[in-house]
Amino acid sequence: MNKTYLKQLAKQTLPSAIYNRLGSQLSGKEYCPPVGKLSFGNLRRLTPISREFGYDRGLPVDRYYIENFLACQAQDVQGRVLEIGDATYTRRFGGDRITKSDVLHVVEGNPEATIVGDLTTTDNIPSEAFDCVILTQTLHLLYDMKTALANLYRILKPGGILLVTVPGISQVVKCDWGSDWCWALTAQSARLLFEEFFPKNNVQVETHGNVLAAIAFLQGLAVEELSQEELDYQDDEYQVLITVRAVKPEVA
Amino acid sequence: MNISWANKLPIPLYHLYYWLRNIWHDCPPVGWVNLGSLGRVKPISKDFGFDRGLPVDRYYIENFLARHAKDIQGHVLEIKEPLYTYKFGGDRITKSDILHVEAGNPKATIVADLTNADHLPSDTFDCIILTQTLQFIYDVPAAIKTLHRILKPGGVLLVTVSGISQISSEDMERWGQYWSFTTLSTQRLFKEVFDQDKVAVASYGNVLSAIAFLHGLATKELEQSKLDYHDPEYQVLISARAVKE
Repeated sequence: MNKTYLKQLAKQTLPSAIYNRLGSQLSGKEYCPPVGKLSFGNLRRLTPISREFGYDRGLPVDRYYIENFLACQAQDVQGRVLEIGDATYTRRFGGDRITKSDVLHVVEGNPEATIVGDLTTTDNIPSEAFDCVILTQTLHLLYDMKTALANLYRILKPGGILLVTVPGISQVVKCDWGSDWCWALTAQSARLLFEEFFPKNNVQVETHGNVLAAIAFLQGLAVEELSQEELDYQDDEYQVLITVRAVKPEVA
Repeated sequence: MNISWANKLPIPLYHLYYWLRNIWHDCPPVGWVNLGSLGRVKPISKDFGFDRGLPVDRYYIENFLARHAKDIQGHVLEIKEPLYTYKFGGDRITKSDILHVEAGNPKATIVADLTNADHLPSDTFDCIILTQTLQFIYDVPAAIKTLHRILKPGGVLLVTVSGISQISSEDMERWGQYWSFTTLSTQRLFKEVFDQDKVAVASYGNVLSAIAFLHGLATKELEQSKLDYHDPEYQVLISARAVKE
């Protein structure tokens, strides 16, 4: 009785903004600004703060999740390793566990590339050759993801490991790779897609991100502009990045 | 924002003030970005904004259908419920059918899975309205083949799919949520079945409407001019109109 009286008194005497904030503090729920009371801060703008995913401000938000994933799977990056575009992550996470490093690029002219080919068409990549393939932010650029996955499965050694990241919530930026942005995946489609080629128990799928990480990424803010706690909060409904680790069975 | 004091500045200082202010606004330095009420890891509304008003994606969907209202006529098929058939078709509708994937929906006149629907008669519908459905279907090409088959020659398919979007765990568990699309993949998916010059694809949204949608804000919280600015790098919604030859 006393409590409801106090609540009523507070509602009558306090300004509504203070009353609402106080209420949400006491009830432990986060304050939800009602329609018309919401502040967009610097985000009420039609063009993003950075159009380069945040590279001009620091480390892009998706790279934070990609690099955390690869750091967790670093022991998989060993032996003969294939990466796309350049060998940055091979060197960084494989270190001296690497015996041979290969770089695949879709068009000629990349000095780092040791193999030139398109994952969806060419057969010029040797079969059963790699202990590990690192494929970050590439699969979604291919309209025919299934052919690419069949090829990736083929070129892995038995027991070889495929480490993949694909975007979920993201802006769509034109790139100069000849191919272009087709898809955003979800944990569910990533799982079904990989299970068409790899045995069910050999596929691990994880999602990363939350609404704040998503809007920071869309605006092109950098990792430095969010706290680690904010970045690490995981909300399945806001999948900024999907990571997949798939292992080719020892015996086919 | 009350900046009347700035109006009292001498003219050169006044211009300098606005110049600096615009630079600051265009590119706030690292560490100085004010996120307002949006700096939170949980969304303001979990319900796409239905609890605050009209969701942002619905604004784009309804604009698209309103623009193509004259296609909605004759025998019309819609999914789950007749949300838009009569709203945009009015008395041009001669017959309305509702398709649902599960039995038990009282509004449904047809129960079928679009990826496996050989029992649906071919060349039946003048118009099919398919809003926000393909993202819940794993085998999208199979569904598009069915849609093409059941359209009458000259019939029109009006489709919307989501681009930048949250996913609801309810939908994830009930239907499975698989894809977000881009104009490029939408164009290619429909071109595989429809004549290339009979497919028109467009995207809607910008970084602001994307952020508002992710937080579950309503259409009325943004000015119309802000909603109507379309930035192809921020595709909140993609629409396709395809005509069977």
